[in-house]
Amino acid sequence: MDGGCVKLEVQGLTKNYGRQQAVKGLDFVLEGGEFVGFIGGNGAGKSTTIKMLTGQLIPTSGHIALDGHSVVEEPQIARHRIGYVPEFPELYTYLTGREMLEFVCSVREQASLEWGMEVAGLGTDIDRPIQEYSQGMRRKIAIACAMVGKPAILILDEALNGLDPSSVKRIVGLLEQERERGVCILLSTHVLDTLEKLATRLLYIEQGVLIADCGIEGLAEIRERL
Amino acid sequence: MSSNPYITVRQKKDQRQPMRVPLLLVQVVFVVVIILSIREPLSIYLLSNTSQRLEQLLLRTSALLVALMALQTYTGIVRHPERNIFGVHPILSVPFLYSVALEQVKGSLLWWLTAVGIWSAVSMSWFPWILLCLTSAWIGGIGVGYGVHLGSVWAARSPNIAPVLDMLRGQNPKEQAAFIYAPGVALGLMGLSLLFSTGATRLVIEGQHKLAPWILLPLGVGVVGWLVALRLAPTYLLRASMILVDIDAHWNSLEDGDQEDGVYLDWLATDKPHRLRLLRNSWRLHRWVTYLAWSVGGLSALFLWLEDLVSALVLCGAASIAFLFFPMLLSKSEPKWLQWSLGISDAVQRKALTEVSILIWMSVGVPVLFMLVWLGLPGFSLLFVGSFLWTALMLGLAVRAHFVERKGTLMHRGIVLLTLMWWIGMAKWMGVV
Repeated sequence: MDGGCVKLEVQGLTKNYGRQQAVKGLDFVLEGGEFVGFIGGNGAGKSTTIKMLTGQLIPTSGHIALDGHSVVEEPQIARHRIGYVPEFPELYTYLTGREMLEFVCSVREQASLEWGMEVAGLGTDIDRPIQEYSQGMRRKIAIACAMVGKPAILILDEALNGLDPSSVKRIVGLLEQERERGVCILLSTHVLDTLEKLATRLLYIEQGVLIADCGIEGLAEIRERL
Repeated sequence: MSSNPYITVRQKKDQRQPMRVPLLLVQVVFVVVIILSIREPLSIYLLSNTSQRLEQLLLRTSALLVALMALQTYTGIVRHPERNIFGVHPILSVPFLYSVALEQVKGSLLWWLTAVGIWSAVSMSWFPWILLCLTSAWIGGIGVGYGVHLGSVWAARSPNIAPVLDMLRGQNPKEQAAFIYAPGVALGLMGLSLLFSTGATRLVIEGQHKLAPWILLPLGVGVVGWLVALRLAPTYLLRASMILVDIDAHWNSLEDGDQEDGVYLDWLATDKPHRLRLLRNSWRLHRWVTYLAWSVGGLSALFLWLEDLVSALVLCGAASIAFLFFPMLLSKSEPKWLQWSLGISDAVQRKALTEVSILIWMSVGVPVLFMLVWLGLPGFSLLFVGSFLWTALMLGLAVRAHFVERKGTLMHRGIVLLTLMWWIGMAKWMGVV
């Protein structure tokens, strides 16, 4: 799937859990070719926001539109066009890495197993059961599952945590390649060093409120706040 | 392997499940025992007032089958245990529905066999019609179950249904009320067709063969339910994931005033909101653990009373090992992102999880210690107290291991081993092995 001119519009996005407001009226637009760093501490509302963007959670109010299609009303469209790596990815642990990718290829349009295996970079370990994988290997498979269908938007929730430096470098290279192809990438993290080299834009969230929507030049100020 | 990806995954899971055959054998033995113990009394019961009793019993058996199917279809389509895996990707609704339906037919085959088996001692000229009636209810129940449960996902967010759900929900969130009452709706929808079907079965047995098609009425209703499910699935299979997160968030968010606090051990959670929250989750989702813990404790106490110390020790030791997995089970209802979104720190969660796990674990200990004191065995009492405290300590460590990202599983295995060694050591010390 080609990234190209994809557009994800977020308006007045709010999520309440009981009386607790986890996300408070977020407004922003994500477009193809952007590499957006989504920054905030634990409990800032990053994961809740991401779950709403990917159609995993219904907003209390507000609107999310992917190329004009409501993510809440038409979640299937969002699932096809968005590749998502949850912060704590769950996998079929009784399958091998290859079988897991085959499964994802069979439910996603235009997916390529070879591309998925390249992203995972697990070599011969791809044919071992996932239950024998380390946390880092599981994360690589989860990233590969998200990227295998060549989605127009890639949303990664703390996806690089727990990976060894060489794997981070390799995956960051692949992400950069995807961005150049027109894919929009949103990487949620509280590790800012990665973003310094990659991000074209930063969204900083604190207690559910979008504090900053700026270019990479705003990183120093965000670093101070964190 | 199948061209349906969900079926393929399932087949691989089955192939790789080491305990599959022994588990199946245990279930088959269980079914055979039930059938053998019920079929004769049932036949004798039918000897007098046969016509009326046949219809009534058949209706009850069919209704029970439908109710079971309605509950199982909920697990299959709404609370699917692997929803967090396949749910982050697009769901191919039709293949998915077929895979869960196939799975359910396989999974409920033993229920159907039990229902049919208990009728197997009746006259062989009746049996085919009874078989047809029960099969129609069984398959019909599955079809209706899927339609109703996907309908309940629609109803959960429908503004038109909201006033009704608000009226029925009690302390549950509105969406949960839609799910809770769905099996009842399925049974209600099937009720009339079951009446016709069982009535027709009786009349056909009495010789009115032209009424035979009426026996298949529940199956027809099931087909309609299945068609409804196929229509609703593309939208509502995914919507279910969203609603389930909201329901879990409701139960995990801390509020005053409108909390449900009538849960097991709530008196030990006064002014301890996080402990109360986890007690509530434990009671809501894993009530069976509390029941099982009390049963194990009661049984162990009984063994002590019968002076069978070995059985009491083995049972308590096995329970303590199994219980080390309870904190993981309990924290499954609170994914970490949700915990953080609700502003609950890891330290607070760890403490509450440890407290609640130990409190529930005490359900095993209390009857045993009571019995030891009652029997006047102070030495044994001290040893058992020591062992229960050791397990409590290990539970605390197991919770801690659960929060360790990389080596957590390894740590947990070590904790299990230490607990096992303690109980074996204690048995040796007491001279029972």
